[in-house]
Amino acid sequence: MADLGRTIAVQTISNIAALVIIVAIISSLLVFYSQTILQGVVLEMTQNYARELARNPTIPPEQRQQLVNMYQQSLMVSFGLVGNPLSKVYHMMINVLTLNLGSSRQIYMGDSASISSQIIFALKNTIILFFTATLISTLLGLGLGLYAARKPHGIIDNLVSFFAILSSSLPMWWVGMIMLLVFAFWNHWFPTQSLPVYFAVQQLSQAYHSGNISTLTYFLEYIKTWMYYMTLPLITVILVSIGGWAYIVRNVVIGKMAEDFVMTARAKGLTERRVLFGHVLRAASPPIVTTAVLNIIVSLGGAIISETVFGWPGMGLLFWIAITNSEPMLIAGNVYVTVLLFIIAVIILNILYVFLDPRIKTSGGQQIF
Amino acid sequence: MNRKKVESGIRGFFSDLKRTKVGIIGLTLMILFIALALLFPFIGNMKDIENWNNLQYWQDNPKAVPPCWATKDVFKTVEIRGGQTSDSLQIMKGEIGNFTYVSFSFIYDLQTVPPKEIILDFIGNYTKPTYVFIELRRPDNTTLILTGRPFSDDETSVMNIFGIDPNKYSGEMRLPLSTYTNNMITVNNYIGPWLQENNVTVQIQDLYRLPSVAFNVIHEVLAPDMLKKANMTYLSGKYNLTVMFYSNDANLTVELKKFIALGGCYGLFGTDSSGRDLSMGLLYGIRWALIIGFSVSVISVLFGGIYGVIGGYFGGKTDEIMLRTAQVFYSIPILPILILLAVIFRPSIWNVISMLIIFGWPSTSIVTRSMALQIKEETYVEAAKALGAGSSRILFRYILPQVFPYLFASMALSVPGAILTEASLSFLGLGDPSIVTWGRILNEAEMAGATINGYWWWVLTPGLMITVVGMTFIFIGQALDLILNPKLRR
Repeated sequence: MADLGRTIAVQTISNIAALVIIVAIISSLLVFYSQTILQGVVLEMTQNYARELARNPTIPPEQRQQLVNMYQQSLMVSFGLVGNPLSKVYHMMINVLTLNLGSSRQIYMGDSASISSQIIFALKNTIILFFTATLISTLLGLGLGLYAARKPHGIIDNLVSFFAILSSSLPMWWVGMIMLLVFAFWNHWFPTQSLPVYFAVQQLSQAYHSGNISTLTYFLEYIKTWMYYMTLPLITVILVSIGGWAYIVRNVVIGKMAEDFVMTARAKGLTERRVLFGHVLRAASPPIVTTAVLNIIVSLGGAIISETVFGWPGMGLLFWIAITNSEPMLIAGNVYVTVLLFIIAVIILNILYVFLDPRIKTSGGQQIF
Repeated sequence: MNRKKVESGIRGFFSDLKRTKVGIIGLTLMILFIALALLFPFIGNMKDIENWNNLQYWQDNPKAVPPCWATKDVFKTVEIRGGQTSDSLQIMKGEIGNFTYVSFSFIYDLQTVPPKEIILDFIGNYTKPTYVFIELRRPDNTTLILTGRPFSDDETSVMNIFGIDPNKYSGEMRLPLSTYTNNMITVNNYIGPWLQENNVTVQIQDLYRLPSVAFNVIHEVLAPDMLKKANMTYLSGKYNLTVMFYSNDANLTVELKKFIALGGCYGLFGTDSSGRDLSMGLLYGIRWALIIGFSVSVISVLFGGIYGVIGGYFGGKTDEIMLRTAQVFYSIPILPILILLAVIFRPSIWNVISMLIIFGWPSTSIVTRSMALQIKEETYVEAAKALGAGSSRILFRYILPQVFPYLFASMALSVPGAILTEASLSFLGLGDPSIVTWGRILNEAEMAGATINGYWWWVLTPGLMITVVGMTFIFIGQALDLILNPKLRR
């Protein structure tokens, strides 16, 4: 068991190292960015000051130069441009790690200008959308993949294979745009922007609290409102992620079906159902589970951009808003949280893998990431 | 590896590729795309691409119109250039009293819908006050006068129409007619009274609505309640638009540069909201997609492959350090980092490509490392070692050639990812602004609200191109995979 502990520890440490490296990169970029901007400001202010001085004939030129230098020095100190850049990066790293990034110029999401609270607000919505989407696509994909594996080269199997190829080169956000064109522009079934979802929910809860509608209708309406705004993004994410996922299940299961223990199980006279669910699926579960988790992580990147297409008030839309309003701090915080999510998922994945596949416990050192 | 061996290896590899159906499809498509990319100067118009960011270059194209094959009932673009003789153009010059005049009459045929816009472009030269007269003679023999009448008190100066110096000018005079008609002053002075003369009920609220639709209204069938109806009935037939310049200046010269009645469709792929020909952008996008795809996949896979083989072969501490480094890189999600870098540095395409390479190699290296671990235990490697072969010889002559087929497959499979990531970055508006890529076209579509306005042609094709090019390489990769792993073939 000591070996198991060591394996997990080594993996977790290397993942955390990755996180620290990324935070260091983010921080140095931020420091670099703010330094360049502030240096420009200092230069401009110093030039203005020098021009002011030049108008005053009573000061001799040498003294003038000295005054300008002193002024520049004081500005550099007050803007925090002097000192070791490494220590600045270090302080910035602490700030980024604790999400202590101050406020943005405007309130973009939620009800506070604080960067951390806006990011948490967006994160909540992203998780709502992607947790649902991943849950549905995992279950559907599992079913499809198993079905395809049971009848290789059947219609479903060919469809799954083709869909897998197609979806691996489909930009998810583009599928979202097409969805909007078809279901929001031509058919008017769904809204073109999901941003008003909170307003709608708020109105509903007001109506409920003032006693205009019963609990049951409130509950039904609540679900309906969420579905109305969430269906299109949900379908898009599921549509694009399900193909590849079902294909992986299919391949893993087909690979396991060819092994001897399946032959043994069949020879014992077990029903095909028992063979598939009792033996094959159990052996196939480690790779399937790891890909399920991987799937969530990978879909996060494309999904984040799709949010901007639908106006879903999540991390992706916050990225877009921060970029268009040029808010580097907000972007940095957003990047950090996205990376953090990714790395947490990777750590969970590695631990899960060790527990699911007993062989790794003894051999040690092997790792998916 | 001597050259002959490599050549025969590659030839064998391609003949293997040709044996599978997906391989043939993939290979054909890839050759087609490469040909399109290389032959762009002959198929496409290089000038269009050079002027992609120069919106003035595109001002004479219809804006945001669908491709012609997808539309019926549209006005077909009519274009007459200066110096051209045409049945649809009559030029008259002469003198009345001490006025010199030049008049141009254009005839355009309206079948179902009016043109989107009429652009009048002249080159004029005068040294004394000059005036303009514009009238539209419609098929129902009514005449709409859009300026003050000549030789009266309310003559309309060129300044009011073209916005140029009315007393002395030499150069281009350009007027998009709909911007002149769709204007409160023109509506109040000319179009409103004309409608009333023809017994159309014009209420006060109509006068406020008219400036947004006036250009279409002047092509409508006249009826007393025509302004109340929701949809417009257009009067079909030949319209005659006359533009006359007149001045005291005996040396007044006005020449036609061009007359364009813009239609409601354009080419095979339509235009965007700046009037740019989307077919050129789509075609040229192939070049960048291939450059990005090839350079990222070839360099990152080769580097990752060699990196992994070296780690796997040497083992021990070297391997441990190399593997951990690769894993650190592997667990970095690239898109957020690229977004941050792009925001701060405004990247050129080459920076994006290098970033994709820097974060793209580890996945290959992890696989080739485990391959090298297996291969180095083979007897022929041990034999080579016993014969005294050096490490580099064993690495490059015995182990790497074994890994190469896998490298080819993963090169093909990593192309779509690179293209997609660059497209995503461009879609966020963070791509290289100086080049034309599909991601950028989609970004502009999103910014112009293409999904809300229903500009399907602007959204559909760039995404399809990304998908088809991506699929091409996945087909090739799949075919290679089938050759390499016969297990999958069942």
